[in-house]
Amino acid sequence: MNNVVPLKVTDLQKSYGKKVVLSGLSLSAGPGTVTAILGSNGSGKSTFMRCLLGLHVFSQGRIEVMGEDVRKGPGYRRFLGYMPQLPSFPENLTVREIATLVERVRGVEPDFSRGRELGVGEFLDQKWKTLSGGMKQKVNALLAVSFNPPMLVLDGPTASLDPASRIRLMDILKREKAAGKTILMTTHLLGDLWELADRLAFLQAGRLRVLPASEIPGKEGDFDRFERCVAELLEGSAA
Amino acid sequence: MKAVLSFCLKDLLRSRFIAAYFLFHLAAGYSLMHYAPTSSSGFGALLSLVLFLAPLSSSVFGTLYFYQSRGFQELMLAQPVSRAALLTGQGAALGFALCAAFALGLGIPTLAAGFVGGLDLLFLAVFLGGGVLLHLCFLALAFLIALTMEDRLRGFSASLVLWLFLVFFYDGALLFIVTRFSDYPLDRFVIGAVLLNPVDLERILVLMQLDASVLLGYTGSVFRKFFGTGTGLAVSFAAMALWVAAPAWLFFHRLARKDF
Repeated sequence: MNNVVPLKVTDLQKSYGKKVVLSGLSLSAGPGTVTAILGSNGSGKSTFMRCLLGLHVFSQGRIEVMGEDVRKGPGYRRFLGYMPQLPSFPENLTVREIATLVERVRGVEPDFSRGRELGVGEFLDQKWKTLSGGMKQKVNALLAVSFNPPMLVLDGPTASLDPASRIRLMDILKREKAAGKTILMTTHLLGDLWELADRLAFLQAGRLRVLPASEIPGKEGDFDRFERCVAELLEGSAA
Repeated sequence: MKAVLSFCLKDLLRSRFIAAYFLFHLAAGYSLMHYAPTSSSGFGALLSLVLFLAPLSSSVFGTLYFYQSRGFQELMLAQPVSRAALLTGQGAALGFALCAAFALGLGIPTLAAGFVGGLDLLFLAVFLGGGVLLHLCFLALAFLIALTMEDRLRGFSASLVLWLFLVFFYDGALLFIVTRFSDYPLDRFVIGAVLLNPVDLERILVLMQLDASVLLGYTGSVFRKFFGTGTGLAVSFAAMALWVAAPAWLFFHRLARKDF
């Protein structure tokens, strides 16, 4: 298992009817790396993430997570921790019950100390429907990291968090990265990329163009410059 | 699947809708059985209520529940659980909650009335069992519609149109055909037509048990010959079970290819 590439995508194709969204997309990601998937609206970022998570059925190609073909059943998802932008659980369940549900489904004891600083312990017995958007996202983050999966798939992870919670979550994600986790993320907040990403993958015409983040001007110390360069690259990928 | 079922059920049993659904049936059952002149007329009134409300509530709540839990489904499908297990768990939880609210809500007052006035338990089993199958049938149809139609408004409208068709228009069309072609032997056609509508099946089954076939005129004698027998009863329940199984099978067939 040690030499397995955590994520390997080969020649992925996905169409909606006659509209081809992903065409020959290939990507691989190693342990301890953060890859940001970027693209304009409708470029196929969500489609790619959904194919990886098994939410979308793709027409051709292959996705392997920790060496397991995602088409061979849901078992590979034990390797994934997922944070959607707008998490949703049954509204009359408490946070504690939700955690137990996920624990039973995954069949693994969670380690809630991994996200202790998020402060979820304060509202463990509150029902989901009484939580604010930020509180829901904290629960979501805690559930994504607590089962210690080797790969994290994050969709706008800090979008609804207050600044202090965002900093705490970024610290957790940096720790996860340092622990060798493979992180795949999409976000419109370039500050998150600046802090975390090792590689920026621009999705254009159904294919990915991957650039090391260190090659983007401004990555080492000049956020304004980095932001402008990424925006220009995004505009270029949209054109 | 067991974990999804138990936690979804826990969520549903805490919902106001399920509590209100139970209390409404309890109140309706108590008042109709208490104030109706005979138990037969009380059951007749309850039957009208069940035939109207069971398909409507299952259609509306089933469609809404499916659409509202899309976010939860997406999150859970990123866990090591299969689509079929997740949706079976959710559907079973919703079906159990709705049917329990219905069966307990009507069962308690009708059983209580039975202890006072004498009650045929087979009749009560047919009445409640048919109602439960009616709920499950429209729930399976609602899930199928919600899975097929991405647009919530279209899906919700389709559920209501199907309910209107099966509860109101189907009978009108059948009645028109029976009166228009009364010179022809329509026995088999009428029986077949009833088997094709779960609402009619429940209606005829209960009316046969109430011995009210005389109210149905010519068709009443046709029904009596078929649905009044033990075989007819078994065939009818099998047909209702098929009305649950067929949309459920189609649902799972489509689920495998569905893009969430």
